[in-house]
Amino acid sequence: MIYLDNAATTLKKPDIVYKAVLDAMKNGGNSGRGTYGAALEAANTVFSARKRIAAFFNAERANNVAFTSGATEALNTAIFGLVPYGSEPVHIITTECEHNSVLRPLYKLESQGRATVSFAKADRLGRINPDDIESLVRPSTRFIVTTHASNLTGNLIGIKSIAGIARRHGLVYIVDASQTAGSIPIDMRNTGIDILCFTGHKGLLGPQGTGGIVVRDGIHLEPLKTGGTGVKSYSKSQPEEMPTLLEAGTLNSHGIAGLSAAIGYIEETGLLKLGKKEESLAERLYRGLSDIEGVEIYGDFSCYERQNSENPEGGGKKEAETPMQGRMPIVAFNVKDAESGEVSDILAEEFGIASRPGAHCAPLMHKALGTEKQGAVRFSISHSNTESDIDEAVDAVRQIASEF
Amino acid sequence: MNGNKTETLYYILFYNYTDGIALARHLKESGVPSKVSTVPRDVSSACGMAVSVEPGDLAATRDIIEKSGIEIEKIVPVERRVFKRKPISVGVADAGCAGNAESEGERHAPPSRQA
Repeated sequence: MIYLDNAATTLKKPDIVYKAVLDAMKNGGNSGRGTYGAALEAANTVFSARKRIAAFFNAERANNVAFTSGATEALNTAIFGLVPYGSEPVHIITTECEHNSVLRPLYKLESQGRATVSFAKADRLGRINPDDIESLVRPSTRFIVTTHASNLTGNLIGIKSIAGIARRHGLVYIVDASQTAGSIPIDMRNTGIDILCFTGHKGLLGPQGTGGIVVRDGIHLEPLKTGGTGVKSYSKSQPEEMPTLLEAGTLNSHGIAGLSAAIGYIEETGLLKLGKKEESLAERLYRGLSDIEGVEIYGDFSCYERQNSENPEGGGKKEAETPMQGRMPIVAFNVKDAESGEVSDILAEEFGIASRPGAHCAPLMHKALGTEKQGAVRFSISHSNTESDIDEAVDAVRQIASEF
Repeated sequence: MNGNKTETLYYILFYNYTDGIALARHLKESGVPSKVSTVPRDVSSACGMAVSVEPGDLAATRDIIEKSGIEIEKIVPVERRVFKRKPISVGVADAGCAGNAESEGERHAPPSRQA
């Protein structure tokens, strides 16, 4: 199988990830639930992971990191946590590029009368203008929540500009890094991100069921869950200190061990090196699909043109200082008027190529792109893909387009 | 050239993946040919999975649905294009990759139809 659905989950993990999970399952007790060897083994694993993640995203300290089951839980924790029950209704700003993991919590707050939501519109290339976000700010605005990159188009959002807007207006800024964590550098403090929500099983190469929320010092969230913490057991309320505040119940220390090992692999191999390979493969895919008559591609790919024009003598590819300067390694497309699911099924059944059709849990993005009815076929790349994977995928789409 | 040849398949739609996978498993165990497919968007834009069967297997499928008690949303006939791949001739050699890529043999194995 040629796996091109890495935006859903990366299928191939480094061997050390499998080993770390297995070791933790064999040797780890329950983190924070005792002082005997096995419990301490788990506690040490979790602490090391927390420390590593804080450094990886340049957060202030390890205690800013709380583990969750993934980005969805992290986003729910952030969004609901900033609007406690009984508080005055607030205004929230987001974009049309968001995944349902952002949209549905916001819609729920709206339906409960706890918030009103304004959306920055995307243009036909799926781009967001940060100035539009600033124009939506009201006196009652409490926070801005945006994705770092669209899971459909792969376009990056200008999070530094948006963080500046949040800072100027005294707003909290939540970033959904589901598509970017582990694939491009994220620097919370220098960017001005207040709350970062991430998943462990995509670009970070960890196991499913892992992820987290990184909360800047000084921001209080009302916890989504309450329960056992291993500390302050006679208190009726959840301990106020991070990360315990957001970590009720037994942690997934087995998965966290794998996530930590995966981040270690990325650090050792070099995030930029891995990212550059993804970028190169994505550009190859984009150019191959662009040449096929009847294929329409969605998103802003102007960064590839810019890189080439900046280095016309260098074989068409500028050596970027950072990978993914303009986008993530995702190419979404349609073949003529064919239904995206039909194309995706043919890719899987006839060519052994895994892609993702349909709506991608991004309904507003599809509306903005005009693909609400047709959906789109999404290819998403990992550094574990090869040039021959890309060429076979392009050839397969060419065959399909010639028949439709 | 496959031309515009079409075939009619019956798509069984579900409210969730759990019921869909359960039916696919029941059909497989009973020897009824079926395929797990994407939900056709002209039938529903809600995404998710469907199980498709050929017209000759519809009666047996209905029987299994009834006996298993699996909840389905609906069954709809859908006309789909018949597509058969031509051999691929790609000349670009694998430049190697980071991580733990599958072996060439695994990666280029012929695709198999799903359950």
